[in-house]
Amino acid sequence: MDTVFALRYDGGVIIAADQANARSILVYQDNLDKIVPLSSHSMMGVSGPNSDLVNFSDYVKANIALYELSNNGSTLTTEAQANFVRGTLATALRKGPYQVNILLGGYDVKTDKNGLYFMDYMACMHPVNFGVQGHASNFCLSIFDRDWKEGLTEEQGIAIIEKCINELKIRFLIAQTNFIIKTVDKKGVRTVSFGSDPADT
Amino acid sequence: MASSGSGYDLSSSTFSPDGRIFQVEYAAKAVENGGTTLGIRCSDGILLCSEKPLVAGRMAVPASGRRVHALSSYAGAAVTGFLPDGRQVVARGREEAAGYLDSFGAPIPPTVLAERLGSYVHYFTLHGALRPFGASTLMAGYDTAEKRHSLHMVDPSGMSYEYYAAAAGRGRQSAKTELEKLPLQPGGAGVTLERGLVILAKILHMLFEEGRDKPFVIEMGWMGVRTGWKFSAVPDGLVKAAEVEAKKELEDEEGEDDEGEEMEE
Repeated sequence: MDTVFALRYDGGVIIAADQANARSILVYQDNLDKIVPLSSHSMMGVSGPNSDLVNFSDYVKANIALYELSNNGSTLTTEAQANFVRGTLATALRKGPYQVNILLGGYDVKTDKNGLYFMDYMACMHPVNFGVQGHASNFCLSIFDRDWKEGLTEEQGIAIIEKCINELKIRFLIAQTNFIIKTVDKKGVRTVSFGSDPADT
Repeated sequence: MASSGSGYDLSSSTFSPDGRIFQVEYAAKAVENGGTTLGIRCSDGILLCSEKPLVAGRMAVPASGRRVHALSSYAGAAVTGFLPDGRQVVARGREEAAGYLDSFGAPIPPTVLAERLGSYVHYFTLHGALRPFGASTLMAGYDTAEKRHSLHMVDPSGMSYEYYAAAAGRGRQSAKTELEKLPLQPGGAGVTLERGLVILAKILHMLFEEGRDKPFVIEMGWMGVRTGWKFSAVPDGLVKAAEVEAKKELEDEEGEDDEGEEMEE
């Protein structure tokens, strides 16, 4: 069961996810990167079956790149990207739904604003200050509720994320040893840390 | 005038030996016959203005036959030339803006909308069975993400440029001469919307020749700081007031010219 969680801080967004690729009792892979960069200044943490995770995020990522190519380098805001992703989920919903739950975060350089959007597999969408997808929400939302406030620094944000990871390691039934953490700010998308290097093939 | 097409001008899918598509050029001629339409990018907004000759006669309601249209909350257009063609471009512009809002949850950036209109108009220059649009479209837009307003013009070939000021239709040559005098370029003082109303009314009245031209009504649309960047028709009262001010300034300027002549004697 995937864990994806995220929060907004002053000047950017942090998204973290576990790195397990598993089905039933078997772990296929322990270094999967579930946080997909969509553009230079946005990324999307995705939870769900690996087939939909890859298929859906490839499709969305390619279309966002196509927009920039077709419109002379003009970029989409985080809000516009989130609406596009939600629209894709909604259109597919009553045909062949994507079983993905998403946290999409980005930083708009043009307006100096960050944005974090929670989307579930039924194509609901809502801007949030923080969010968690999966069973982990039972453990992590209360930590966010208590510790999140407007105007956090990146360091404070990472500290809250680490707190959540620790809580999961102690209290969550499913052992999730590896977590990958990424931030996006005005400089772009950056990997802060990972449990196991996704580049290891 | 223009060189004879002699057989290469029958279809828009035919180039002439000297590399021209005559049908597109003829479409541009249709625009040149249309009422003068002006656009100006002011420091605090965009103004679109159209001269509407009262060709439909005295029995037509003057407010009908609109040339200035809103495309969406933050975009508007003024058309000139073959007006039913212009109406179609406006309809397409509205669809593009609504479709973009549907897909991306945000107003369409003006640069994207102008490109889309350009592509649409261009399409009609490639298909043998279709004829090009005989209309030029001046487009005003506000980019809510970048907080930037811009003026564009799409011509019958499908080309679109961004402009500091633009003119199309009958009086465009003289209008361009007047518009070029304004300090609209980067580094210039710029022109306010309020001043722009008078300037554009002045240009239209300056171009009017009693006897040659039909009496006309001015249609204006704007967007700017004062409208919250939403595009709307300029209220009638303001248009009338601008015309009064414009005529007064024109008379004063003529008076100065006369004075000059007197002094020379």
